[in-house]
Amino acid sequence: MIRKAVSSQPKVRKRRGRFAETAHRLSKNIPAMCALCFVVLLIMSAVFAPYLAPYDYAKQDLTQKFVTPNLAHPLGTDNFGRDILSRLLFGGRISLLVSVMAVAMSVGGALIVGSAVGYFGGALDNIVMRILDVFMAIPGMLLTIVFSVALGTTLFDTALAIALTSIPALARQLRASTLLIRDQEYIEAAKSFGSSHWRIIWKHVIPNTLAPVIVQTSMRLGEAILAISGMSILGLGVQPPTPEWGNILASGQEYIRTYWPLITFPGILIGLAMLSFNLLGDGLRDAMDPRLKK
Amino acid sequence: MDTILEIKDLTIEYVTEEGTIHAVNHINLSIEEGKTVGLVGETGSGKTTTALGILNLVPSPPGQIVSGEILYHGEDLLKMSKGDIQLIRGADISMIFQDPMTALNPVHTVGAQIAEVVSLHQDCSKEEAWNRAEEMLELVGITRERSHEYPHQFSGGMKQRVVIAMALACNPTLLLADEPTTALDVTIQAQVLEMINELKNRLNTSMLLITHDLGIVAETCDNVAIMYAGEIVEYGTLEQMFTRTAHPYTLGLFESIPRLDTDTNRLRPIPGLMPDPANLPKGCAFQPRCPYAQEKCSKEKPLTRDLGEGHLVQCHFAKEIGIEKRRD
Amino acid sequence: MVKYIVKRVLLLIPIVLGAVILVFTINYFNDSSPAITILGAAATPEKIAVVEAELGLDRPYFVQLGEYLWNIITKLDFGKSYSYNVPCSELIASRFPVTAVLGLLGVIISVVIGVSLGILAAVKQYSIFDYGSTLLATVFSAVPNFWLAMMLMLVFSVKLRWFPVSGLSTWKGWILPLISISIGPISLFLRMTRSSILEVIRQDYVRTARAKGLPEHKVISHHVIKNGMIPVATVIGLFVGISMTGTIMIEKIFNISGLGLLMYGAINTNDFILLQGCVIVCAIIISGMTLITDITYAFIDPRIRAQYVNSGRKKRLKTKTIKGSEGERA
Repeated sequence: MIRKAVSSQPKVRKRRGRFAETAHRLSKNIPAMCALCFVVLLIMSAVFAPYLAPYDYAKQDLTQKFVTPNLAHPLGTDNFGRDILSRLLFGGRISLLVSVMAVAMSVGGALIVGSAVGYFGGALDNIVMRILDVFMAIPGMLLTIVFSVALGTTLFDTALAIALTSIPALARQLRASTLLIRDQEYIEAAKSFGSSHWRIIWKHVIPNTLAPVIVQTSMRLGEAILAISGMSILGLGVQPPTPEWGNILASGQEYIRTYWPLITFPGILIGLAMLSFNLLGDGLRDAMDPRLKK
Repeated sequence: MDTILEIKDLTIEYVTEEGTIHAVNHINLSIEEGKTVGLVGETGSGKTTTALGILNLVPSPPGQIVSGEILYHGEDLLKMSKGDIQLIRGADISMIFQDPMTALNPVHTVGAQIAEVVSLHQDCSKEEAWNRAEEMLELVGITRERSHEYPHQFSGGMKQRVVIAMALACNPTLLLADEPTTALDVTIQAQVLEMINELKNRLNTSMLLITHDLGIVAETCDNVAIMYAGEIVEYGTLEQMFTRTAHPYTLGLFESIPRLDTDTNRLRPIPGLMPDPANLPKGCAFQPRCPYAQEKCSKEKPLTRDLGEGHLVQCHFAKEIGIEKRRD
Repeated sequence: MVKYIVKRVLLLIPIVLGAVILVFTINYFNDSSPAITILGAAATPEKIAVVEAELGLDRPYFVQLGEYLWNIITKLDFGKSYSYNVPCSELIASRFPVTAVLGLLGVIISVVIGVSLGILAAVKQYSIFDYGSTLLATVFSAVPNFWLAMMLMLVFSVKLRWFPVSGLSTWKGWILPLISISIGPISLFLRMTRSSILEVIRQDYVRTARAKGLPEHKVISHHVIKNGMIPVATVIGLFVGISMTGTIMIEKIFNISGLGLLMYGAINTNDFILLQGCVIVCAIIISGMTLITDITYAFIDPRIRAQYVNSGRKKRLKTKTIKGSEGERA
């Protein structure tokens, strides 16, 4: 009865396109909107870091070591007397860049593997799925470590290590959604027009798996930021003196007994970035498919 | 004859973000010992909510019982403490639900689910309860051996038998059967219905049978209440309903089912849809769809009138319509 | 049932072998030579070639892989550590217990606390407790455990001096590492349990249970919790993995000499063979844990049990994909 009343609502509401409808629903989700604002703020501060940063992030001043936050250095200075705020602003560039690269590679790879395997099925599907099973038998973090050790520590290598680790789970999920779409009638129809397989995948399968892909992209961005900083803690990933949130945090651990700002501020940023990407992902999932809402 | 259950002025609402849904509006209904009352109406007319209201099981939030009394042997079920009504549920008043597929817990054996209600309400050992459960299964035509099986091992009709066995396990005085056959195949429907009827007569149980199938009503009911948009628009004995139909909605229901005994060329369905229960029309709720509607109907809410011998109807022009209909 | 368990164990073997081959292969394509690790600063190209030949690294890929696999299967031998110059298996065996205890305690704590809070939150939906715990869970599931560990250390060890800064020598030393490992999984278990229980509470059979006259606490304990726990139980196995990898970071921060610290050392001394051994051991243990959860799962849910007992492969694969998606959501 309740459902009936609810379902009669949309008739009254003006009809909107799918995108506008999603945007409208998302705009009503307060946590997701806060998260979106924070993400935009992060991106802006990364883009405009050179203008926003009060100091050169690499400039050392050994007379100004471990200054607690004050007006000149709002977040204090590190063990080389470098301004922490400036380092975090530039570090955000690296953290975001690497995570965007990692997610782009993993989503791209997973899309190709997942939709092809799901669409063609058969022996290919079986073999690829068994290989992915093997990947997934190794905990993600350990696999990233192994890849990272083998590949090296440049920005691209770090991103690749993270991407390679996260492809299997994502590909598996996309395969599942492809399987659902594959047997739909419009795919049959497209085949009857003589469309090629790759054209069908590109035109019909991928657009229809877009909703989970967008949600996953947001979630994975958060995870990638966490993974990058985790690598830095273990001495892998982006190496100092290049600033990156994780390695700034790692450098602070040595001075935990005497100086708190160096571990506090980068951690807050990593946590907030992760929280924002998670909330945004949750919000997008609810907005794109209200039926999935828990 | 003793009145077992008396519903007085019951009103139930669901309060949601989109507005208040008036599911049940000021209904009165009574059930006598050993009798079957049919509660007939379309989907969404408030039948199930009424039944849940009797057991005080309306999901809350969003549901709330706004007003009214439900007297069971003279005691108001709605004023009872949680503990007291729990003693009545399943023992004195039990319910058969619409969908047997989901009404049983998939992780417990059917025997355990029946034995649970027995040992809850009757002072007996576990073995006795289990024995009783197996007896009940046999009563509904399932062999004892199957008591250790899980619901997914039964077909839909068999599951409904289990649900019935569970509902009757404690010899209830009142059975609320919420569309007990709707989810079943047509061939199974008749079997299950016949079984309910037979068991009910054997155990001298009263029954409130919720359905939208007038055929079932004609076969099983003593009295009939027609529900529309949360109101009982007509109430009477089976004979009164079928021979002296007075409410235009009831008339519409009869005309929209095919009949074999008269030579009807086409069905006459009721035009339009049931009004949104969140926003009911002023005056008579049926007036927008009523072929006999006049100006008065959209302004004034009709009161319930007695057409004689307890035949109650909620319509301004019931007498006129009744006469006209008989002339046809 | 025995047949099913045997079948599952047999199916595990190719996965574990695959994992060993995968890790070995990734490491094989590593550019830097372990000879440099062994020789240190004294490394010259000639010396490197000699050491590599001694280690058998100049042989073809398949020969090396075959030997590595053979040694693991027959002798549980993971090779000799480059930096410690002792068998990896000895090192791993000596460090493993600490990590295992930490990881298992972490899982037990997170399951017990997370699940009970999740049930409470679901049963008292819309209450302040529900809103509060859900909010905290959302926030804490985004807090990196290594940062949480540092902050806990900063506040409780450095400033308040309640707990030691490092090591597990006293019982107090265990508290902060365990909190750091558990907070994230607690949040996830809380959210998962809550949504699963809410899903079950809406089911018709719960209404049936109420209509039977069961008191609310019995409705919850007999008809809601068991059903609601099934999807949660399926991911406990995955959490053993998450918890164990979580300890790597935590061990590094609290300077606890377990497998994590051993791996950290291996990474920073380029002791690839040791790292490889550690990763493989972890993968084997985690696969085993997943297997145990799968079997337990089959015991809890009669529907799944029936599927496994009656027949074959198709149904098993079906449940596996369901499980997969659960895990990914986690």
